[in-house]
Amino acid sequence: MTMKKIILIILGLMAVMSCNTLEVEPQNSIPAEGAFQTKEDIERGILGAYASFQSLSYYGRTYLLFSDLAADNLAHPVDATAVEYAEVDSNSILPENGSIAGIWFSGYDGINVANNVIVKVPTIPEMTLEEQNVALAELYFIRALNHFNLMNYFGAIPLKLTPTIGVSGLDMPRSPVNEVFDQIIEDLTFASVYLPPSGDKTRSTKYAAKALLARVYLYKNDYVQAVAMASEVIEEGGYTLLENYADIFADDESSESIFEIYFSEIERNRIAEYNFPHSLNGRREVQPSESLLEAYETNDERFEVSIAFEGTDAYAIKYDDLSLGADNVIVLRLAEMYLIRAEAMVMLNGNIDDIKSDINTIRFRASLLGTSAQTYPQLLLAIERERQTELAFEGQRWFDLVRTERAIDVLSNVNNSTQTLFPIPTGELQTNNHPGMVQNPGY
Amino acid sequence: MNKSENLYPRLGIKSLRHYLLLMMRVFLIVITIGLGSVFGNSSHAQTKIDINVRNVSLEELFKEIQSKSEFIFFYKDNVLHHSVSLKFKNATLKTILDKAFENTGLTYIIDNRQVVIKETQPSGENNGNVKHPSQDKSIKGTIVDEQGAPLVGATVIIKGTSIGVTTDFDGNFELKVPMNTTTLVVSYLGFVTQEIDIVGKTTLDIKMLADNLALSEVVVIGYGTERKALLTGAVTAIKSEQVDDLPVSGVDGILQGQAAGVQVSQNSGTPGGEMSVRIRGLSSISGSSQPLYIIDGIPVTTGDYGQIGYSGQGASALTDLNPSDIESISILKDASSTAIYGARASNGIVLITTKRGKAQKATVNVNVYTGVQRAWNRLDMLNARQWMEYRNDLTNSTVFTEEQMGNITIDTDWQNVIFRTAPINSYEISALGGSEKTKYFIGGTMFKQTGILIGTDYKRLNGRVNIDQELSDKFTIGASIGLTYAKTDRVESDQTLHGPLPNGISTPAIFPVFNEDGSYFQGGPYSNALSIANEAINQNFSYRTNSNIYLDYRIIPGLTFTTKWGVDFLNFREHAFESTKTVQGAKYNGLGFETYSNISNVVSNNLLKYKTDFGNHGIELLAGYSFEQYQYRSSFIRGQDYADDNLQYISAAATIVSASASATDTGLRSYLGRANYNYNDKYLFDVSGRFDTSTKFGQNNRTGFFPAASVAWRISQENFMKNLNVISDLKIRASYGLTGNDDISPFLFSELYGNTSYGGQPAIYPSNIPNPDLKWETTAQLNLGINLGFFNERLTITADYYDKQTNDLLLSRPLPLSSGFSSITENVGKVENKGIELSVASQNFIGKFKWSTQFNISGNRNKVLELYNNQPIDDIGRGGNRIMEGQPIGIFYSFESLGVDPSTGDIVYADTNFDGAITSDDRTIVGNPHPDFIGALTNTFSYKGFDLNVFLQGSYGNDVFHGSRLFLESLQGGDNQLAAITRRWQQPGDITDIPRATTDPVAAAQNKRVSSRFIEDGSYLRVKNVTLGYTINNETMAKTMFNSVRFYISVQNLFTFTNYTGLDPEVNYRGDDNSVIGTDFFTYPQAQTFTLGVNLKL
Repeated sequence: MTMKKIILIILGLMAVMSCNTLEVEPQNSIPAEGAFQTKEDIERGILGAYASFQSLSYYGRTYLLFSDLAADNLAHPVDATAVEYAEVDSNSILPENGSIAGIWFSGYDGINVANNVIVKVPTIPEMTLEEQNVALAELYFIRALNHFNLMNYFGAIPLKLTPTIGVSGLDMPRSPVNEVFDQIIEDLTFASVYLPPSGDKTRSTKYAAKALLARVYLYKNDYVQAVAMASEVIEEGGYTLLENYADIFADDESSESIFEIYFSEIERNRIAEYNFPHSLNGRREVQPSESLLEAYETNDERFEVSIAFEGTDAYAIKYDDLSLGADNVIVLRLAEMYLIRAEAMVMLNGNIDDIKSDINTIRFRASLLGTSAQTYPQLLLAIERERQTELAFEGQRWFDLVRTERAIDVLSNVNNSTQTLFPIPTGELQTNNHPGMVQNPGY
Repeated sequence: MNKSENLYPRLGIKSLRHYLLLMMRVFLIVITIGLGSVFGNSSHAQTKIDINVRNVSLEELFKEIQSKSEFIFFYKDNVLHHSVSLKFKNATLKTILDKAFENTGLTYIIDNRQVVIKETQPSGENNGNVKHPSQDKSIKGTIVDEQGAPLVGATVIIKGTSIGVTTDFDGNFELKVPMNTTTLVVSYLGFVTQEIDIVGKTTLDIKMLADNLALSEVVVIGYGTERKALLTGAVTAIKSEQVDDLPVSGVDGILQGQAAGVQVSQNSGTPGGEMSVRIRGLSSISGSSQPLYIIDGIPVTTGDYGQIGYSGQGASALTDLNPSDIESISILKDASSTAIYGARASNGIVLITTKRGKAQKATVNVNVYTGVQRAWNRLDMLNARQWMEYRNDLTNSTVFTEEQMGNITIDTDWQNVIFRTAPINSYEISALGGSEKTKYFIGGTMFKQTGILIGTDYKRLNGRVNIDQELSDKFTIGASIGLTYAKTDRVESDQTLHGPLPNGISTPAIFPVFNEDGSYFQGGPYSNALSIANEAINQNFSYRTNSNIYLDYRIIPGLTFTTKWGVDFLNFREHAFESTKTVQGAKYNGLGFETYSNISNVVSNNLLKYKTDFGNHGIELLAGYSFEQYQYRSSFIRGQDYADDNLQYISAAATIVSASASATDTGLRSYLGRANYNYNDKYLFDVSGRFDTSTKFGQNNRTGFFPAASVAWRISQENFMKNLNVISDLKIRASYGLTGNDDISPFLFSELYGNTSYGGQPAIYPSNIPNPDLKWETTAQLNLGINLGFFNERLTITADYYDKQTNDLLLSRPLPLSSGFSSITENVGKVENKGIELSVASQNFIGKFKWSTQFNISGNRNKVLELYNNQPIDDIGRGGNRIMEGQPIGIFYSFESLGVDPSTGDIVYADTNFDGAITSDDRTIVGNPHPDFIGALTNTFSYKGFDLNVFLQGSYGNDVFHGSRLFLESLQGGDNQLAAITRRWQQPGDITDIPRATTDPVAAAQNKRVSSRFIEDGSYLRVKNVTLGYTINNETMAKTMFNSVRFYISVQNLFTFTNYTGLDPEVNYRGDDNSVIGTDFFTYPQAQTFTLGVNLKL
């Protein structure tokens, strides 16, 4: 009977179709077992670690803006709307501040991605020891930069050297600052040994590692090493100060740039969007503060390169690709090395002429006369102001004022040293049950 | 109409009423003839029939013929006293009747299927076998209902014959019966048919009892149906008539207030937007809490497939379904009714049955309504002058001079700009009918709703064809095909700076809408609301089919095999473009998006059912095998730098800034079964269970078993109760079972690497921490229920108590961020929901004036019993919702505002830990977004042609975080402010609830902390719907082409009683979210809708 045939057909169809019901594979992600097998896989993993720097919480916007905003380079306009920015501007930050948590998370995201690849590198048989060391050097550089960036905002932080694969061992104490410094220096020293001397500036090189070491040593008050590293970069790195200050931000990977974070229209940074006024279709959550406008000396060429006006509203324009957000963000550039060396030499009571020479290298480029500072204290103040204007909107001002313990003197909203460290995000405190995970004082 | 209906009942007093009754009957005959002519054909006369009868009445002969052919006999009641004996093989009707009518004085006319029997001579005259009148006796009587009201048109028939009469206007009848008659049968629609012994009686007073229609009603349950009386679980059935006139776009909308224990919250007034439906509370934290919707046995894809974020005002795949196609909805609430849906059942099940054809003359329904909607509420904002005064106070300077304040030329009421009176229209036509073998329902609807907020529209076209074809005694095949096209115009919402509603409300009145040159004014704090609505295109399109085909095979009596194959296919497309006339568009020189999502779910259900009765034992068995294959494919393109403002598709974009595509597959394989035993309809037992194997879980825990059992005792069936006439139904029920929830993203169990890029090169990163033990969350539910019916079910009460314990929560638990991951999905934690539900339905008046009342109230108590390591999940959403042990999910946890310090004008917060400082440790529980009780009350009245329905719906005891006030009472920044701030603190000694306006950033930030300051009582009572209808009666309509015409006017949201100060108390800016509940953040309010409608039956 035909009906029976129909039923047989249906039952057959059912059997065939239901067989593969349970055979599905992820299409959007790679199962872990197949992720790291070749040298190319390691390369992709390293790039994945760099990609964490592109987060909007990181060099894509917030990390960069907050250092100038917490200090006196940027202010939160009265008519702006982002409460979290207002808190940073007024230096009264709540531990619930989501933007702060974003900075914390993106830093550790980068560390974890790097650690994940670090443990995979020795398992790739096709890589020579040499290749493995180069790969590790790049990953150590990424890990060190993340640890350093986090420490500058939060002080003592958990030192993460192993990847997160399961859920055990995630409760971590905050390691003392000097331990974090030691690890950063160890990682960067390894990187400076094995990385190639030059290459793509959106990836780390030997001199990127040394330049970062120079900054790390300066922050650590190890001035001898800071001078040594800065000098190496200046003398051997092959970088040149651009004649025209405006050119630094005009194109990606200029000869002054040492290390920068890659952005294209796909990853798009939103720095310009948060700086630009409404009438130019920006959000204007930050604006150059009065004290910065006053900090520029007359005829300072850097003023017009850094700041533009729409009516009476000033806005920062170093990163001005509002439409695409495709301008790379510079992390390290040569001018800073001169200022690091100058400052470290002051602290070492070095030769005043050499110090002035380094400062003036930067000033002459900006069409200014040589510095009038003569004494070490005067020189320190001169360097401080030079850093404020030269490196404005490059995410350095807050760290400078905090490391030199000048924040209370300079910033009207900072009355207590506890304000110089950002609060550990509430989310970390609630989930990290290690007794050594405690909030910074004052929060 | 019975095929053997009497043609001309013998009439008593020929009152007007009788003529009317006669007319109705004639009318019915006309219909029947029409029906016959629809399905008749000329070959009927040639139909060959076998007949073998001995000494039967003509009536029995006709029945015999009817059973073997398609002929229908019409005859008067007193013509059939003849007995015949006939034997024919393969005879035509003519041959048979010619023989049968020999010597009877009867003749006949065959017209297609109709056979009309007539007398050749007037009846009453002695002719052959006809009995003499003198042999009859006369019986008189009155028929009344329980209240003693006469029943007009009740039928009285001599048992075993078709001789009978109907009662007159006063309920009286008189019937001549043969002397040997012993029993009369009295029947009336809606009442229990009675047999009356007339031996020795000549007058009768008969009281009719209303029929227990309610109890014999059949309710759709999981993979089957059950008589309402025999239900052992907690099931609420909603019939389409209850919700017909509601001008709502979606299925979820019509559920609101219809069932106890079902909380439906309209998250926003967005046309076509999604709602939150919670059956018996929230049992999941990270999984879905929406019930599983099943249409005609096929699970429905629900949710928001938009890839462009609109923040809580997203699209809802459920809205693609047309409410007017629905015949009934069953809401399955307890474990015994839901466990057969296994791993997806713990949020309850909504079973939707669409209309199907019947063996009847085609009826065509045309339903049309048209109406207008408006915003029923406005916020009281500062006008231009008040704004200027506030700004002067804020800055403590003269921003605006007295002269400027005296000469205000621009005073824009931005709410008038963004809200509008908007039309709503629905046009529906459907046809339903069929023959014994072929039945069909065909319907089509066009629904158009313009939003009350500028820039929003919803339009939907639906078509449905449901067909059932009996192939033979053993086989039936059928199909249900539902097609939908829907187009939604959306606007960005509260979470962006580009939503017309937040931007409009937040723009101070001093700013104009247009510049003098006619271009949009963009100088306000936010981009111009009107420019966004007019110049930004945000559209999404749904192309949807939800269809199935089935085959029923009746193997032997009682044993049936059914195989049903269904597909739910959704093609969802979004198209967005912002020209350079908008701020957003100008930023990118034109910004466009194009997204596609294809979601297909193929389902196969294969069921073997066996049903048998022996003696007092009834047994039903069900075994089933089912599998589902789900595929999701999507693509997304974002482009900018457009060549021209008039070219809105990506091909005109010079820069593609993002292009991606992705895919997800999942599968589910299930075995299910149910056994059901009932003893004498008195003791009822039911066990059911399902094995589900889901690819969402790892190899360690792929398969789950979900059993349930229930018992019920119908005490009213016991002999000791049968004499208690007051109580018509008394049933106590108990059930217990396990159900699951698997609604999480696939592959969360495995260690995965995601893709990204850096420097133009591909890159990978770890994206998921493996958890091979991941499994469904399990809910154990106990249900105790009682059904009570009084006065023959005129008053019914249903009450249920439930206790739902959800274990192994699928919890996306937060990890220390220092791990590099923000969360992992694990089976940890427990949630409890306990509650009571009470439904009361009563027919207060029946008869000419009818009044019935339906009332339901329910209260659910939700509590998180356990989380990972007692770790709260904190600070979710804008209102500070929190998930913590011992409290309901999403409790408001923030600072407690003690009010404004009269000396400083700043808000004082409670220092709950007395450490002298206000830190995040001082946060405390400041509100509960869950209602204590929800309820609804429906009163339905009808009198003559009028009908009136008044539907009230409310929520009591829930708090709402009025997040808009974070900005509208910020007392800083450039946002417009609520008029309430005119009572702000201005000098020491002021006692008020509004803090000072200050440019001190620290004080201003402290004053507008998320705190109890912004928490309000969200209780409300809504006159949700009032509908007044008038049906033009049949007598009038008989002369027209229509069977009936009903006109109605309806008002949705006529009144809302609430103390909530926002636009609408029924809000959630985050949409259908488990933990961000009860938070208003510039949320699109519901509309008040006035509609005028007409229902035509052809």
